[in-house]
Amino acid sequence: MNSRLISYLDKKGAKALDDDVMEAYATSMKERTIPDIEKEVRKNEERAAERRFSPDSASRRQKAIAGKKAKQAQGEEMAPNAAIIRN
Amino acid sequence: MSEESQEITPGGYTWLQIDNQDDYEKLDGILDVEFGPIAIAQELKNNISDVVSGVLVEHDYIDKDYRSTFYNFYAKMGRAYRQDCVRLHFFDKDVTFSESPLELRGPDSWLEHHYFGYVVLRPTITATFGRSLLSPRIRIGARGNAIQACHKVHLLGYKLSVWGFPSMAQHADISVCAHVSCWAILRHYSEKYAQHRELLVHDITMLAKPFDPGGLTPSLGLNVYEAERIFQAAGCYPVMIVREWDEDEKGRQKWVNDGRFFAQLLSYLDSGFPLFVSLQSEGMDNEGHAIVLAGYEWRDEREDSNRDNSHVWSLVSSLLAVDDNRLPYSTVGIGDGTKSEVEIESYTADDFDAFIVPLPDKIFYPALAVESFSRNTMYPIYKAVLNLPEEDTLLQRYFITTVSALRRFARENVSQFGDELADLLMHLKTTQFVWVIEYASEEQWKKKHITVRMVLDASASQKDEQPMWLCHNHNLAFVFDRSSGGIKGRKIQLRRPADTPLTRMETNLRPVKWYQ
Repeated sequence: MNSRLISYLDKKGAKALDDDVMEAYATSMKERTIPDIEKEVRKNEERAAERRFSPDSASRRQKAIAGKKAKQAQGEEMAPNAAIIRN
Repeated sequence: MSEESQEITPGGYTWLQIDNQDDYEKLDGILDVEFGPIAIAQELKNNISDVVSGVLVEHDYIDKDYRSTFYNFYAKMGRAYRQDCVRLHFFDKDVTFSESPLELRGPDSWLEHHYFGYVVLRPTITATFGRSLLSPRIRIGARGNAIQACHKVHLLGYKLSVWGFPSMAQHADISVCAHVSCWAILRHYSEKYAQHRELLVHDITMLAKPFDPGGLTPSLGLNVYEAERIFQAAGCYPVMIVREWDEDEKGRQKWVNDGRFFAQLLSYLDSGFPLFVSLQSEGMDNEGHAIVLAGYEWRDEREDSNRDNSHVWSLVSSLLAVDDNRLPYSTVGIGDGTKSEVEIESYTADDFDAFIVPLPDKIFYPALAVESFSRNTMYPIYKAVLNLPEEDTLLQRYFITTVSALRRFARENVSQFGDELADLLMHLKTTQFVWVIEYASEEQWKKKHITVRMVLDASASQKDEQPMWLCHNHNLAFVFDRSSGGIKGRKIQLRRPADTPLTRMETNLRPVKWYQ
């Protein structure tokens, strides 16, 4: 917080926020919000990687579903999505 | 060439009085056949409102975008293409034209108040609608709010201006819908923001690939990766959001988590960023298509089917598209049930499968992070402290704005904000871009009021445990200390004027204000 804002808040008699609310807030951010954001951003990036190189996404999806089912029927393990490079 | 048009001297002007919509058919006698006058007249007749009472035809106009395709494509062809274009300017009933002296006359000295923009016609025989900049006011059916910029126009020595969004029809032989959508967004940016340079149609086709695609290759289309590449090469930071799908019990594809997808779409649109939207619909024989979304319209009541989602997407009745197959500002329905209320019948928002938002630098906190922050932490923790509305009546809206725009809003509404809240916003040291979250009950929403406003750092990391600068309701403000490691903050009582509601901030888009 910049010093000018601190002196303004002091002048206006601002009080510290309640510790229990701040604690609940911090816990919720750590345990729920940040993991949820990371998961959703990653899921979108996976979909985007597939969509980037597929001019006809609908037919690609149908083919992907058909291929996945055929492999599952044969008991094969699915390969990871090769389009995504991390790290 | 018709007899009438042969009489026009180079650099000439022709005034076309529009007393009724059939008068547009007279363009057939004014324009050469290369400009496709019959199709143009039909399009204008059906889509331009009767607010327009006069059209000034500017012959031998040199259009930079057509010239870029002429130099690099049409000039190389065996068929002879002309270099010049024609520009049609639209005026209201108060403007008259004089041939000698050559001038426009209006009822006052503000000619631009009676001007509705222009359309350039290309001499390409087919798809002749070139660059246009039309006010949404004259477009039949356009409604709601639209992203617009003020464009300068030079005509007969007058310097005119018009608010609108750029558009053109695709050339078909050198550019397709996706190029035109990229061009329209980037032209809007270069007109509105000084840091964006102007890119012509041919430049756009060149940016799509790492090499010169040459000849007809651009007309084969481009995928979303190439569209992303164009925005990135043009100095934007594109973010692509892709709709989520899964299989139903019969193995058919179905969309899932649509609430999240459309909340993100509306949030960026409401932030004033035009969206490049990729879609595929049965109404278009499942051919891929790209449009620009440049506006939306609110409905009065929330749809019952959307009650489980508190985002204000449930209050959108239609979207405003810039589709290269039509004049700009066509209305698009939200779902199949809304097709009868809008202009475009061949697709709805339900056919969208991805969108790209070309963001400026320094926006790192995505819309989906704001959604998660609001739903998982902010609402449950601060509901009691800030008297937020109950979940079944809660509405939340979030958008990006600049801190300058936020301060301007506070300054212009200082009687509503009160001195302390306005001073707090002026003292706050923030980034250039901020996310604003506004919460309201359904009753408040109808009156354009809110319960709580929050200001978040748009440059925050997704791992930031404290992305918020400030939040306030009617009588209490919390200011957060983001300079230290822990989560700390101060609260201050606001002595706001009694019985004065807080109103929602709607400054990123301009109302279409269309009326008959």
